[in-house]
Amino acid sequence: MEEHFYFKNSSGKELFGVIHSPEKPSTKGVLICHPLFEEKLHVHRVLVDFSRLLCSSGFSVLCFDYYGDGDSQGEFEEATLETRLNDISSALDFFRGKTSVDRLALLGVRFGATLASLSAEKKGLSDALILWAPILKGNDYLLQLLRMNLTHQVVVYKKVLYTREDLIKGLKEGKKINVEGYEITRKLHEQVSKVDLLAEDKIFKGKALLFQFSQNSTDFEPELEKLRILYSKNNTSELIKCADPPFWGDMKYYPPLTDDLFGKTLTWIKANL
Amino acid sequence: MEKIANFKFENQELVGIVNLPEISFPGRDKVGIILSVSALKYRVCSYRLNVKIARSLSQEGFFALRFDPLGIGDSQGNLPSALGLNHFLEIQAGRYVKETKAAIDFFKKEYKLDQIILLGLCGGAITMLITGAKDQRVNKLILLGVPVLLENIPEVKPEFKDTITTPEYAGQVLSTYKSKLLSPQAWLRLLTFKSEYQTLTKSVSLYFRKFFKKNNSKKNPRLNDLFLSSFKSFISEGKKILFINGEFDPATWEFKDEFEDRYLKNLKNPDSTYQIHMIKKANHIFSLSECQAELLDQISTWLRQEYPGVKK
Repeated sequence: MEEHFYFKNSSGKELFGVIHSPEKPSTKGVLICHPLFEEKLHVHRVLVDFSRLLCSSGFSVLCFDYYGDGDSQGEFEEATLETRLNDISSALDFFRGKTSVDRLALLGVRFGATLASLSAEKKGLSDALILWAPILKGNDYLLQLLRMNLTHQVVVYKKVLYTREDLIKGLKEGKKINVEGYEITRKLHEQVSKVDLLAEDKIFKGKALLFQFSQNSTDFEPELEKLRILYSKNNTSELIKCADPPFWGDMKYYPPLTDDLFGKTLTWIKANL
Repeated sequence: MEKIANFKFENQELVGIVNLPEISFPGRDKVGIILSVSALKYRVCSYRLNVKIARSLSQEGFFALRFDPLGIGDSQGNLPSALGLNHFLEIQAGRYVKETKAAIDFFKKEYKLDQIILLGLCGGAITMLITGAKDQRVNKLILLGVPVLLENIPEVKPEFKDTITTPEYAGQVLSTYKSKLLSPQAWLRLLTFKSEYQTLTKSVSLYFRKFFKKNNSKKNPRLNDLFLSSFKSFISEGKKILFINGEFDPATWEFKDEFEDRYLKNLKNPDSTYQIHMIKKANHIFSLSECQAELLDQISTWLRQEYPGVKK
């Protein structure tokens, strides 16, 4: 059964959510953390499909939109890294209150995985962590986003009017950076630029599953392996390669997913939650 | 205020959100506006455009519904796995018309609406135009970046040269070559046959065609006949359409070339039936913040003209 609703975050703002409830009430649940920008649109249906699969396998699932994202209250530019982490915390409280869930996994994609990882550092937030292609360093991510702005400038003005440095300088003067219609503010930029999942040892004591999307590569990415090792100091952690294509990019040539990602993740959750 | 609005279509549940009017206009018709999805992007649309429009409409005293068709967003159902450009072709042939009619059934009944307006972007716009032509209950249309040509190649990613379809687009491509005129490397590439000759020749021929446009009366084989017949059918009843296009959107150039210049100019029809507004510097999704603001303003201004009233 799927129930769609609005619930309030800790600031009293309305967030949109969906609970997928299995036929028999479950004590095990998964909270989904979506990525940001257009990637949220691109992965939405994949997350809905996976939530339904989890539910049919006996898990409760909560999908929700952060403040300023999706159907939730607010504007994208009003939200920050901090508000999104608070929203995950509010969603967890709501999920526990609304269901009989007491064992919980956080599952995130791309920057949603980054948010899940940061949330898991807050004690007691999660028993297991599943990270699909996490973004490890905020600065790398911001560079990708700024590149999109530069590309758009070339399309509109036939040349780059504002370099990367100009854009960042503009942020300090109170301007915003437009990326595919979304506005990056100084606060969001500052907070994201400080993110480095590899910087410190982890407080999180639960089990972790990391996914690398590389159809052609036979090797693990060294940085993802480093993150796995950080998690393995406290508990078991696994890094798995996924044969599915990255599904968060352009939707025009939408690649159908195979069972690889869903199957491996579900097997792991069944064994570890 | 926003409410979850789920309704049935072919025994499956479609998920939607309704924005209720924040102000009322006594004596004015109750008007509901349905916002279409844009292909696979679910009910929020690119950068939450549909959310922004729906909230703006509610502030103008309108009801707004945005929903996911079968297999999209949070709705039930499944899309076939082999998606891609075929999906766009299906949309241009009216794939989501039935769902939109079901949305009209639900919206009119649930909120006792007097009038229905359909609004969509890109593929959503063509869906709404076809639905409007087929469903007498639709009173007006707001079409953003509506494509007039059918998608090019159904299965494979088109080559770059195949995407150049208008003199305006060709001019843009040629302007990138202009900057290479003083580049020795570019000349070396040209003289050693490493340049993209097909792109270059197609751009040159298309660009110069605009100077002889009057003699070129051949219909584009990719023109979506359903677009044209739906447009004719809708305005033949005196119903109004607002078109909004982006200056830098290739779809706009095709719209102008294949529809405005070739068809609308010869139409014996008062301008009051349709309005065409172009937003400067806008791309296909109006992503710049000033373009977003102008888009919302244009929609509101047109609606205020169409539905004058005194706020309560």
